[in-house]
Amino acid sequence: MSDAELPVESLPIQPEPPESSSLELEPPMLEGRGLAKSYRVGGQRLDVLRGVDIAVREGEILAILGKSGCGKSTLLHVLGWLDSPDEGQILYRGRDRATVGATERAQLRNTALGFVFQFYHLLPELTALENVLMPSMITHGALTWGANRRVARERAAELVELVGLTTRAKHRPRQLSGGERQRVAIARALQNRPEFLFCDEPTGNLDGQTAEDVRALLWGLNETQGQTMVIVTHDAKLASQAHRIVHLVDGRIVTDREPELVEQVEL
Amino acid sequence: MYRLFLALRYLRSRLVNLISVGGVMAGVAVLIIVMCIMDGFQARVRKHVRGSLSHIILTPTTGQQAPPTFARLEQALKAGESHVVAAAPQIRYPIFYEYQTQRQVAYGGDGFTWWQMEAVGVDWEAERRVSELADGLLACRDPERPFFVSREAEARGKTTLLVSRTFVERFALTPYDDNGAARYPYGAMRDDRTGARLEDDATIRERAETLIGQELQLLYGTALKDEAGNPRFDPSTPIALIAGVYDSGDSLEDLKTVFMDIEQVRGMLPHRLDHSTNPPGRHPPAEYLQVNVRLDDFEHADLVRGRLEERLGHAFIVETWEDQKADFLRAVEQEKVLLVIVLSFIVMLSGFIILATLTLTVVEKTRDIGIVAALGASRTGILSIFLFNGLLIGILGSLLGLGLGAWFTANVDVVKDFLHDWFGIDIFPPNIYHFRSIPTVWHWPSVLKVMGGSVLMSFVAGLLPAMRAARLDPIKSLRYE
Repeated sequence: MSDAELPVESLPIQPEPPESSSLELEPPMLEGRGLAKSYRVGGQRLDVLRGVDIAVREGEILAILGKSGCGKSTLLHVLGWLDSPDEGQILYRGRDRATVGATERAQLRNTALGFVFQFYHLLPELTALENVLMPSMITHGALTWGANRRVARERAAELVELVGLTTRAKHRPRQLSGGERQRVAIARALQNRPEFLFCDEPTGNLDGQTAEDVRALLWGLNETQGQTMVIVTHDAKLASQAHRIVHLVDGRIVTDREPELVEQVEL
Repeated sequence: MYRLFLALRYLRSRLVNLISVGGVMAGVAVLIIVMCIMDGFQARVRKHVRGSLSHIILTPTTGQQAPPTFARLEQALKAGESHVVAAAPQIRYPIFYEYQTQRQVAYGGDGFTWWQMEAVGVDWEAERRVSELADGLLACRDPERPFFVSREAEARGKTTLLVSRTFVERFALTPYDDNGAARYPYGAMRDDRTGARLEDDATIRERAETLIGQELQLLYGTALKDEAGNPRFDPSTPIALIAGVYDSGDSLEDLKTVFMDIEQVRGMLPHRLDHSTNPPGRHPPAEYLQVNVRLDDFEHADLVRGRLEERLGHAFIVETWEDQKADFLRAVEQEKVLLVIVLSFIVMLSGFIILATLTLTVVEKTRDIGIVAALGASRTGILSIFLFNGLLIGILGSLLGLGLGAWFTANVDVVKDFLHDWFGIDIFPPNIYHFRSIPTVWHWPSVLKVMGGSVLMSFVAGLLPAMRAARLDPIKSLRYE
């Protein structure tokens, strides 16, 4: 499907930057242009993304809202350089993913991009604290680990405390509840102080209070440290608190506007 | 850091990994044990095969010039070679032991038959300095004069000899009481009740003692020339007296060897070997038919043989004892090599266990691989996780195998007794090997080779699954449930 055939996907409303207007002048931190992705399932072609244009600015919380199966997770993986698009370009701070080698991509994922997966994806053999430490262990080789271990451990302990799990630090994932696992996953995503955080349904499997705790934690990071975030969710209430919402339907972005407008549309 | 960390954690928390460690351990231990036992066996066999042979053996050949007298030869040997410690003359001559069986008696025959042996004539004073025969003496009247039986026998010029323990066993030699009945029904070297081989050293010596003075019927021939110069074969059938019992350790050789005083054997020699009846110029001296040379260290044997060949090669065949037994020693070595090759398959088998285990682990850990990749692990990083995992299995298995092998090797006799007592299995049946204890030699280079080999193998076995893991698409792996 070529670009010309595509309907207009994004409304020409310029997103309001969260704090200062100076950001408006800067290029977006993350930009996807004409992203398309399809899978082959049982011999049938399944178009998951059908030409997505998206931009995220520094310090922004962007929510991608959509029903399950609409391609949200795939879009997040593509945006987070985990997966490659079949068509289109994905740029992080102006660098095209296609021009960056695998090793450097891995380095970028390790140091600059943090992921909170929908199903937590913790390593079952490791304790909560070790799971949080994992990104640092990946950064440092066996030779430099000795010199950096103390700092990394302190950071991990801080994060475990931040997510309120100090008493459960030595527990394995299967000994933790869903909310606790989610919080461990968040702590792990933050371990290497990423500039960019990707969250896939961060509150999807949580009950009301826990979901609110997790939300408050993420929003707090944005307020205190200006953490840039893309959050994929099917929860309109959570999305409504983001700075900006992208609505994804059948692999296409149908709205890209500020939360109030979405709420009006939805309601 | 995560590579080693995760490899260690997987090793610790997956039972299959520990099972493959056990597999490697078993393989390494078995190989080490077998190599130690085979090395020990080889060393013991070498020692036993050497038995009464000395480091270097000189055999005179006939020639225009008569070989030197022993005294002159010895002098020349010692003067010219710093490594030569001692030399001793020997004369070897074939004889038969005549004995009666019960076979033909029922059919009216007398049942006599003959056992072919070699009478080795030694000069005791010299011999004891050259060979270990003196150490192998189980019983004799006088260790200084082991061929002495009694004054009376000496006065009558009786043939006296040392027989081996295995010979006594084979022919059930026994002293007789006054009524002519055998004192030991199965012979002096066997248990009276069971007929089993005696093991206790004190009993063996005590019983060997009782054999001294017992008679043996010998038969040998002396070739002479009659007046017309035609060869003539003269049989002699002396009744010899047992002067003592020895055990050199080489049971096969012992069975066919009796030791006698060199003068007595010289008396049996045929005319061609007796220079007093031979025309001059074509006779070896009857003084000796062989000279055994002892060196300070057998390591120098080849060197000394080379030098002696240069100096004496025109008149003597110069051999080391290993030359004489080369085929046998080679066979033992071959046996060891074959066994090691066969058992290496066990180690290879544990390689396949590792391969299977890691393949399983990679499938099981597909999602984890995706997670680690998403967190920024490179493909080589993921490759190394599983390579390390395989290597760790190999290293840990080898170390445990080393421990098990070392324990087993150190306690091999305990294990042997256990197998014997509980299952009736004899790993080294004493009647075949004549070992009281299982010999082992701990040879570090071989042990390290086994360990290194299995670590290398675990690395190779890990390669395939690791490469498979590294090729996984992280996103697909993340979806893997």
